[in-house]
Amino acid sequence: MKIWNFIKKAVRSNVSLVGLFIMLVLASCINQNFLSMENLSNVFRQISLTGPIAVGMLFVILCGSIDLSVGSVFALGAVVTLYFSKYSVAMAIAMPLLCGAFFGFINGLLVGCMKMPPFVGTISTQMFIRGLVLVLIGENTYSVGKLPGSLQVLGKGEFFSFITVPAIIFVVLLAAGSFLLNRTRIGRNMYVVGGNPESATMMGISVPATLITAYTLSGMLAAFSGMIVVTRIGSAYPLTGQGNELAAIAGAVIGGAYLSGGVGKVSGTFIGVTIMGLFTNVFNMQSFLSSFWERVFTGAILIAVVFVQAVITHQKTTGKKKRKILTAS
Amino acid sequence: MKKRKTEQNHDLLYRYGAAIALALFTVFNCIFTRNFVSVTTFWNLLVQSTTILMLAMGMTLVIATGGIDISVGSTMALSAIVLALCVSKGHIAAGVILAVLLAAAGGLFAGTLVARFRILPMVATLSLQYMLRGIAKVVVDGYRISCMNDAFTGFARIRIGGVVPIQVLIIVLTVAVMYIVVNRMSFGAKLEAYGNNPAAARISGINTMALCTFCFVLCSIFASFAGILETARVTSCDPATMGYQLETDAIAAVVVGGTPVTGGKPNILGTFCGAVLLQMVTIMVNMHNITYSYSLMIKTVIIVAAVYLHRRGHR
Amino acid sequence: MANILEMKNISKSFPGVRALNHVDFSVKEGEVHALMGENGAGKSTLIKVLTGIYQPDGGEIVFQGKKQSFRNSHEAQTAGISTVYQELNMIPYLTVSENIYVGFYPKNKFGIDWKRMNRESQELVDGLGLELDVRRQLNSYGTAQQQMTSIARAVSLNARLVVMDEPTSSLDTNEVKMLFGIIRKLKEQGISVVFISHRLDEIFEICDRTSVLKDGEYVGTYEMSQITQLELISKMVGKDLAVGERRVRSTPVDEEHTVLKAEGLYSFPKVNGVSLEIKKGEVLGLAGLLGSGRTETAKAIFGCEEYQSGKIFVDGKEVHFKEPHQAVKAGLAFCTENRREEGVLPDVSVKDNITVSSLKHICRKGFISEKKRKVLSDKYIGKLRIKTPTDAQLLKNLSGGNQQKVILARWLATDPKLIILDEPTRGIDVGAKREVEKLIVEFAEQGISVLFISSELSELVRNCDRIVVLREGQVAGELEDRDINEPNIMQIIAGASLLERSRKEDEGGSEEKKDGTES
Repeated sequence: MKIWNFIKKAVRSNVSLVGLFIMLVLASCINQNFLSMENLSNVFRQISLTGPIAVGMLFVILCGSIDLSVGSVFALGAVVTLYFSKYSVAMAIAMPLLCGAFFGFINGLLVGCMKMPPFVGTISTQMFIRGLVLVLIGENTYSVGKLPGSLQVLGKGEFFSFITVPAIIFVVLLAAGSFLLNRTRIGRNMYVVGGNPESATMMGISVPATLITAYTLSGMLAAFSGMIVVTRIGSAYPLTGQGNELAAIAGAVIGGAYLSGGVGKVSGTFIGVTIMGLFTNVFNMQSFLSSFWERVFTGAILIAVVFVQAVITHQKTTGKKKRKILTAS
Repeated sequence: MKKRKTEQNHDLLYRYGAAIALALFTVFNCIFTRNFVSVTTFWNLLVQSTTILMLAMGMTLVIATGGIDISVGSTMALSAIVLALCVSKGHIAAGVILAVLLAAAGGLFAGTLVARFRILPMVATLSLQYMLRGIAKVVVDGYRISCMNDAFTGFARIRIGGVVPIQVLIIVLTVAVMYIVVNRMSFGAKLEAYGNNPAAARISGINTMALCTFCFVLCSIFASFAGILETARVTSCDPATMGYQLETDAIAAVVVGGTPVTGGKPNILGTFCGAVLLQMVTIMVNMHNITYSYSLMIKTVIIVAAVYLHRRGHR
Repeated sequence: MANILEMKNISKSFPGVRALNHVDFSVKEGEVHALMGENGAGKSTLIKVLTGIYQPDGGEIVFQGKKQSFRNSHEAQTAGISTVYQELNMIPYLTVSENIYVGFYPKNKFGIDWKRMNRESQELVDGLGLELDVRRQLNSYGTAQQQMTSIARAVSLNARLVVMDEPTSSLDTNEVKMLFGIIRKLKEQGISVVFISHRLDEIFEICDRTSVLKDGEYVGTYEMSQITQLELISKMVGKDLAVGERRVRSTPVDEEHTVLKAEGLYSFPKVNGVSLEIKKGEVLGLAGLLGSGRTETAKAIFGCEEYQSGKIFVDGKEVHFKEPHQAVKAGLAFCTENRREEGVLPDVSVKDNITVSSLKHICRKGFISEKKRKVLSDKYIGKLRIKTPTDAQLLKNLSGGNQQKVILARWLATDPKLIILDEPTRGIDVGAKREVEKLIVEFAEQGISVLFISSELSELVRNCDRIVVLREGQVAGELEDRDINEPNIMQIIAGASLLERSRKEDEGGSEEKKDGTES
């Protein structure tokens, strides 16, 4: 009985858990190997590489905005890491984060202070950074030979053969993100700004400052993700990271974040990212549909989730109407 | 009174800013760029800007409604693939019709999501961008389709009077038609009203749902035109690269051209100037032996500057 | 008792309108002070000046003994003046507790201390007598409780003066009792309340004093215990209760022809069973307090908002408009009350603004005839005497009054059967008001029916053939020709509450003068 109550409570606070469950069931039907320790740890390994981007995206979406530049910042992070790996490990870690923060800050200025619509502002940054990456490394894959050992640990290190260093870092990031959103004023401000921007100003919260914070964090996390991936792979091709923004948005939205802002959780984003990761995993394991179909399904899933969100929010107002009429007459 | 005057000045900036910028850049290039002033450059410039211009024409309408359509590159790819398939089997007319219809269907889908279900245009078209490109790849299993059909490819090489490339004629016709539609027809008046204040437009009796959906449909149809023209010109179509990331260029052209990014009066001539201007930047960068990648950065700066200037004037 | 607030000689003007003209307003510590006056009298402007949203052109504000000048609402809040609005100023997705503490969270070494926040806010809420579970999401509660959360926040911010703007308009009787309980608790704590309302009986029940504004001027301040309802009404509407000059029709109303008929209209949440009829050429006034459902009824008829049950007939044929363009096609017109959000196309020229609803009259096969457009636009610029340098001037550059005229012109240009006017003279100067009224009369004479929604009773009295009064989404009464005068209207509006009061008096047995007759 107690377990049932716990489950009920968990589901109510994270409806996406249902989606996760369905996913797991479907997946194990398609392939018996699915629920093996090896496969699942594989999945977790994968999602911890690009998962941080979704967390950053969550911050921006909570504020009622969106960040389309994360794919390019990812690439920049990778490139900068490789470049500075020749000098020192400390710089190879610090510089990409700084770059990510810098461009995130620019995004914040464009959207928060210049009041550009988020899609124009972040698409511009996306284009700029992509151009920057091409300028820096040309059109061929960029590699600096063997990376210093400590950096390699970052991307490739593992314990007990299934707990990877990126996974550990991802979990730490999740905890930190959760802490930020639940226990700090800066985090709560994002909910306020997304929930009702006019009220936010009246309540004394600076909307531009909150947006700048969210975008800066998003940029840092995207760059960080690029850093992790490149220390794992060892090289970066100039167009890397494209498509990461859709995956990040999908992760956050499937996890229950409202695109209009004000609603969303780190735990939900984690579930959303996991669902997407499981989906990719299942897809790769089957041979019925070609790999090109994956994109189609990803796009379709996002539309479906957003559509359902829209209908539910609309129903919340009309549903009440129907009930009231029934009681009135 | 003073306030009025500055406002009028800035309205002029909105309307003619792109043309002024274009003129400035042209002058700059004439002086500083070797080999710029030649007839071939002139025609090349216009022919090369055809694709972006087509995409931007449709995009102008969608941005005028206050929305955005970032799936145009993928729509272009899907239309082009379908067309290429048909052409390689000899059915040109059927291919063209199918390509346009498919695109229109995609636009209808996006438009309905946005107008009827109030889904953010950004998200709806971002998802479509993915789906459509995926479908394009699925249809041909990722392979590039070549369409060596003389009737079809010959079309792209026509020069009127031996001099004027057919693309230029198409551009002129398109811009002229769009200009008339936007500035002389009731559609344009309704679009301007809707972009300015959607709630007021709705109450004034404009069928805003139909209008918004129609703009998305038109945008996708223009994307299919771009695909058709491009395929004819390069005689083949690669589902992965056709139209790839061209939506940003299209948006840039519209924004630089002076159509308000939050919705308002579409500036057709401005979009034309914006598209040509951006193409000129690419050519300029090329001719000065700067790598292509710098042009991306330059274009971004231009977009941001354009939005900033237009906005500042507007306030 | 000392004065916690003294506003002296406050003046504020907008282009074309003098909203406040040397107005005084003082509030004592711990008192509940009503601010009354009809719409357009200047109440909301005065409050906006007080809370820092507007800066006054002249005069000074002294709060807690110190001269103050607030540059924005946040400064006023920090100084101790909070406002509780009709429209929500809270965050619906957050909990009650969090809404109270936004920006001022209690913290411990692990960050925000939710347990303490919930505990302290629950204490605060209980202390005010509210029955709220602070851990619930705000939007799981109705408007009433959301409003009370707003008040709780004000208290937690150490407000010494709380302004309540039409707080009871969305509340039922129990909720009003709850609200009054809270207000009394605030009084006990020495917090003053400025109570803006039209509901006379509520004002008499909870307020100590009241100040009346009329047409931007300060009329006076009165002790509730020393004035009667009727006297108060007279202060608000004019010196005497003589019948305003009603116009005399030259063409009679066509009684045979019903242009619009609505039966049993239900539109959640504000319209609860409205039925009305408008004949050809008739001017039907729709009176009632803010929030009585007049605008919502109009919007339901016009297709702007959904309605759940009821029937609407235009010219005898049943219709159900799902979108405004269908209503426009059927010959209806709707001049909305907030022209800024729902009427004005700011960056569009005057000419295009006027012709935007009549495009099909000036088009041929989709092509606009600029000649016909100019003719149409000039016709109405002349007829309504719209002041603009050229017809290419952008609408945002015109004064409020002229903007309103342009929107009116827009609707007239469609040659409608019925035009719905919602507060058409709001925020425009006296000269323009007179012109608009004359126009209404003119086209009624020409056979266009008018549904005239207004809070300015004198307007309604002067121009309407019949008046329907709404209260809480239902028809509270109708007045025919001879009975149309301001006191009658006000009494229907205040109606049931008077009935209730008298019932209470009968039960309680106390002796109080009964004012006016029940309708």
